[in-house]
Amino acid sequence: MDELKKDNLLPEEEESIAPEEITEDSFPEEQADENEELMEELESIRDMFQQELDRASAEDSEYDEDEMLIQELENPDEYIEYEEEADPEELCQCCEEKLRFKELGEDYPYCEDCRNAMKKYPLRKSGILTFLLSGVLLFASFYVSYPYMNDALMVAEASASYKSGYIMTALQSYYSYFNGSKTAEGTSKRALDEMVEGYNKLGYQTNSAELIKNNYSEDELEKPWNKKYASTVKEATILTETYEALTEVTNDAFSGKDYDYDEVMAGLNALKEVNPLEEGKSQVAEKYNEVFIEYYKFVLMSIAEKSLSEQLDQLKYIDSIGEGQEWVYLANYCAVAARLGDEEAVNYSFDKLISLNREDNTAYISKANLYRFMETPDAEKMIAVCEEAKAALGASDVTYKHPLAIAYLIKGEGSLALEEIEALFNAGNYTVQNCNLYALVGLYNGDKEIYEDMKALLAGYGYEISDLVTQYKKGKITIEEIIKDQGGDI
Amino acid sequence: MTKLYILTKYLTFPGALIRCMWEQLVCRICKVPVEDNRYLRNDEMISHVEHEFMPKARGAFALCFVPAFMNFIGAFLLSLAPIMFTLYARFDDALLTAVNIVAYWFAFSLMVNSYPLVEDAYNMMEKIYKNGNILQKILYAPAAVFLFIGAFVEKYCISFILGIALTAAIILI
Repeated sequence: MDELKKDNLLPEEEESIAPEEITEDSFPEEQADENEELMEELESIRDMFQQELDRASAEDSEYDEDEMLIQELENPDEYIEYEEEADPEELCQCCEEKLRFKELGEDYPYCEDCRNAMKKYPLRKSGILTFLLSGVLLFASFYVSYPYMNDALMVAEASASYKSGYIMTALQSYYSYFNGSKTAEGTSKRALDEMVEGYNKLGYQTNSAELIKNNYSEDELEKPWNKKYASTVKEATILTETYEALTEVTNDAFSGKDYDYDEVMAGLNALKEVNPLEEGKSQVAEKYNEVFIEYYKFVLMSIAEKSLSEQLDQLKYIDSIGEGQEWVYLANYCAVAARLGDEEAVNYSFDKLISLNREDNTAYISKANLYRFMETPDAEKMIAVCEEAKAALGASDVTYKHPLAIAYLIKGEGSLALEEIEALFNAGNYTVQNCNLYALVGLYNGDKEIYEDMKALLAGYGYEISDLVTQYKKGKITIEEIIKDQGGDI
Repeated sequence: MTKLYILTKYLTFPGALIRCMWEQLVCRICKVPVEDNRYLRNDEMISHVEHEFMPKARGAFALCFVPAFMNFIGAFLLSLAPIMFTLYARFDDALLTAVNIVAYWFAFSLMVNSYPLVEDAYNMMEKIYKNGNILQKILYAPAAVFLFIGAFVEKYCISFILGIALTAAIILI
């Protein structure tokens, strides 16, 4: 604008003549053409000025206001507007050049421009890069883990069963995992650990030792961090060697030959004093497994038909030394206590068995039998235990139907008893006990054909039908007497 | 305590940086000035950006909730593969092990850097329960209480300890 004025292109305001003031009456005709030329010139100057003004405005609008404000904050030295006469304490703490924005309060430390710029601070690259890196990492972790995902899910499922106490289900799942997975071999420490522990709880020590040997070399087993695996292998070896020594001592007694009870018992006691390693009978054992020896003493007492009280005392002694080896004796403890009608001992051993394996059907059967062998048989309690067993064991294990059928017999509900024993039989449980019970229930319901069928079936396998059933058929004994007074299994 | 706090933040810097980024993003969206956007600094403001208080309940809640939510989601996603890894781990595949360990470290860092600053948590409660409408008071309540407690959990490094405990539980259980 100054340049335009300097060049006399733009008239001074005071001297400027408004076009509408120039009329044809105020000038002679010869001046009319000159006035028109002047008008045109003034209009061209106005247009030029307007163009110049538009261009300057356009340039201003192109400049990003935000960028400018950020620049002001980051490079305050280059900022050209100054509040020269302001008190320094009144200046913005950020740029130290503009007055504080006091609309937000007397103590507000920043000017309005700085405040506006603060609203637009760009995100830091470190944050954005870390965020992107985490995305890459997420992808990478899934990419490298993908081949193992199916295995991991199988292990998770098996592990959940194991931790809930469903040891058999867990072992079955792990078995499928180890046999069905391409990557399972030597990969899952958790699977290996829980399978070994599960086998040990249920008494499959040789299986767990085999599993460990398949996954670890002898050198690896010597490493300190694999000590527990090495220990499991050693214990399995000791158990095998103990079993061999026990078989040698009890062979005659257990195979039905004549034997001297005291002599065999003394032989078993002597095994406890032997150092098989020194005698060259073992590679690893300095002592045979004492719990196993004591259990064989119980079995000998059982064969020798010692009293149930004596047997239970022996089992209680084993329990006092047998922590961690409950699989050896505890099921028998529960069964013998049930036969004695010792509710306290049954409940103790039942709880312990279930804590080790919720799918232990022998625990449920013994507990149900407890109410059968009590002074007054309680069919309702037997049924309640069987219902509990049904919920815990699932559809695949119907062994609880044996005591359930007996419970219905006690109640005098023959048709229900027949239904249960038939279901048990149809599920493939062809044991001698089940055949006898099926025959008995058949007779109770007046079906002699079942009795004949069972007799033939047992004969086919070299067995005879129980005397109790035959006597019942002949009317020499009642159901009540069979269930209670005759005591044992049908 | 401040030194320990700063140390835990440096040990978990990926989560601290990402948390700051979310916090600043919320400030930008809500047009609240950020006075200092350094993400890692050696004082109690580490892993938080210094900003003016949010004037409204919605903004105050968003400032606490969004970074926490995003970090929790990130932690959850990043920890999935490593948790799976603990099921089948035998550490015999170096790449698999390394990637999963780093991924879990990121997940851990996101998890322990989720909670808001105590001052922001106080501001959130004040804005919601003094200025907020009845709907906000009801809807925001569960998350607001969680975040308010979380702010103190983080202030005293308890989130770091809880993170270690959770890691131990994942490995052992």
